Amino acid sequence: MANIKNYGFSTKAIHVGEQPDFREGATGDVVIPIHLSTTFARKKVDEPTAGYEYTRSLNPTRNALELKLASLENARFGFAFTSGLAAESTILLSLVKPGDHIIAFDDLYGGTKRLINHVFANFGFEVSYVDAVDPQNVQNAFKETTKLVWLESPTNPLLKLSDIKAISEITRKHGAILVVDNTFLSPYFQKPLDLGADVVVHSSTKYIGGHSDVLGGSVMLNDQKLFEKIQYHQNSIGAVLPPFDSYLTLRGIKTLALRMERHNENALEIAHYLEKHPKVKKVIYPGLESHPQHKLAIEQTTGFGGIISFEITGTIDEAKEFLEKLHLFALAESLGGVESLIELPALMTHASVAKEIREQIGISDTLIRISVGIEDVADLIDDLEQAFN
Amino acid sequence: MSITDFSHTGEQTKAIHAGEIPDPITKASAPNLVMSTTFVVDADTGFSVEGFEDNDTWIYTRWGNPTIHQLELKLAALEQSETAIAFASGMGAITALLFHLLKAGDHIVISDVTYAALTEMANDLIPGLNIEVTKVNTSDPEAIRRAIQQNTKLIYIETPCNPLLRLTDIELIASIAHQAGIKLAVDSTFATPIATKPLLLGADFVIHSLTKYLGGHGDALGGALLGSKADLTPLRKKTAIRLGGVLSPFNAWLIMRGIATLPIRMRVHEENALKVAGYLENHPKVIKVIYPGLPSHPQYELAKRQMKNFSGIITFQVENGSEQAKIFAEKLQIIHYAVSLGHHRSLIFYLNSKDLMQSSFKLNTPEQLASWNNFAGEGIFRFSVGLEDADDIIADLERALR
Repeated sequence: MANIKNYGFSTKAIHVGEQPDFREGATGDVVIPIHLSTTFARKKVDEPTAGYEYTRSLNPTRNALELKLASLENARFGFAFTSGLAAESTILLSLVKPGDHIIAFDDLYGGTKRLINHVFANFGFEVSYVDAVDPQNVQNAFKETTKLVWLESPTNPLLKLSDIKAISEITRKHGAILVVDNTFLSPYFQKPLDLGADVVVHSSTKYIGGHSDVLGGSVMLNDQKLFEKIQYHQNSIGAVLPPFDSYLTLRGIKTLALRMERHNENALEIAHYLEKHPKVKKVIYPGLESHPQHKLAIEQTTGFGGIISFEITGTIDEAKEFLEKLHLFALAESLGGVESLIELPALMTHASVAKEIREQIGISDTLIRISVGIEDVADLIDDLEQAFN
Repeated sequence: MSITDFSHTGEQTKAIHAGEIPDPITKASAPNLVMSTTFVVDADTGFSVEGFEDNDTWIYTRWGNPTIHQLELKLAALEQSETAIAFASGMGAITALLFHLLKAGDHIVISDVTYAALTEMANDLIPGLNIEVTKVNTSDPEAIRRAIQQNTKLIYIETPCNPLLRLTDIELIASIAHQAGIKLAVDSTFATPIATKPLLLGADFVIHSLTKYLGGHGDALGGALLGSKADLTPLRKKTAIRLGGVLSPFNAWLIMRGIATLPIRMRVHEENALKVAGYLENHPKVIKVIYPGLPSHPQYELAKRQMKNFSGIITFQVENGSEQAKIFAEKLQIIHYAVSLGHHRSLIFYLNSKDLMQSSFKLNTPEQLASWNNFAGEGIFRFSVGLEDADDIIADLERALR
């Protein structure tokens, strides 16, 4: 594996980090073993064996995952944490100090907003939320003290995009750091570092893991100094992904390309189906020409992902009834798994947001978010159809 | 609300949903992993497996376990069979089948080229129990007809067979078997239920090594036996539970997770294999390529009729195979020189004909040897084409095939 960079995405997803070990005494495993040991013995007092001391600092299975994660985003470095929020906390604690200012997309994931607004409320940094659909709004929000710009593209659940390249240029001009949450598209469809971002963050619980059975968060980046900071904090804070969960995540990544292709294909077909349905008021999917940023989606990404939001006619009770009638779509939060999931943001993921604010930003009572799985699309459409009737 | 009848859904939907009923208490969407070896039961529960009827009351994990049961339901849905039993390995499944159906004085007709461990078992262990064995080239229906005796209880085939990729017409052999009142078992590991559903073609039993395509990630051994309830319910009691080669719940869980992507994996395995087979066919150092998806396969018409997907195994011959094997082991960077198959990773292994004849197949009629030589020559590479980018696989071969 001399020239990893030249390999295709699927080859990297399968091989990077898991080259068989042919050294004396090694066994040539074709999949990385789950190294459960929390500590590593030494021959010499002052020499950790092969760099391994204690699993929080470095573990062979997690290391395999971290190498693979990095290669997927064309990054030099990767980190694995216990959840997306653990990854985000570590980034914030590493890169922001009291008195600093953050610019964030106003449509960020609720958990990220809660972390910034409440958990770090007394930490002494300032936040400005802006509509990052227009890069000018980001430009206008800069202050002397701005350290970090935090984007999601597409956002959750409204699927708004931000122009990562344009915003990265603005951010760089101000000497700040651009963080992009790439959870919704996965590195298969979007590579924010290649577009100019400094740090990429993922909830690997979603597409990267892909089977709804393992929590995790990832961070990928290129800059040596940022790497050292995050690495120091990863070890000091200790929210590291356990070996078993690292293994399951690695296993999921092997089919990431195949799964993403199918998610995208199914979602596009369902989005077209929904757009024609008389009981559907509005469909939001970046792959539809009706999406206001469809052109940006084509420029910036190589696919549109598996998340669709749509609004149906009627009341919140009718929306509830629709959801409860479905057989294949599980009524559940989370997304990105092989199985299709559906939810009503007004009563589920965004229930903590006040109704007026929800409506103001576009999350109406009958806005439904689906995470389109990789089932046969005809079965999914049949299921939606019977629930509409 | 979730569905339990998958007879009308597509393969992908079955692969993801069948068997995986959300946990009734927690409503967990992904399946639980139940590791418990024993279960709290009513006071009147019997201690012997004799009184045990359905496999959905939980007593002791060797008898049955909720996680293993979910896998069995998923496998049954994919093969469109009434029921399924999971085992610790493919050989575990085969052993349970043979010892259930055969007793001293019986006779079995078995493919002369099968997975080597079964062939070796048919050389020693089975005849040692006074069970007669006739090995025939099962792609030839006449050879099967000739081999049938009064005491024949089972015809056992593999299609495509390992390692030759020679095919057997399941529908035809099923009718021959049934006319004579004999059961037909088909090892469908190479085909997977995405390609072929032998039970719908008339077979009585299907065997899978779940270690291969079904699990698909090279990290869990497993086997399965599928068929009717009438056949398998007594088998579960007699040989599955008592011989004890049962699957561990953890492996069942990993395999189930693997099956969720089986249909999309098989599509890419086939796509990549077609590209690689085309490349090999045009390579000057390659003498012969055998792949059911190539028009040059001697049974291409049967392959098209019997296989909806040509799967991902290619065999090919080169001059000086043994030398080339050494070069492959040294020079290949992506493809691993290793046994097994059906993984996400590409795996290659050299099978020397002379060695195999001595250790395993021991073919003795001139016709059988001729058929072997026709497919394999002095030796073949068995190449399990993985899910990497096809260009990278071909570039890796190109580097090592100079």
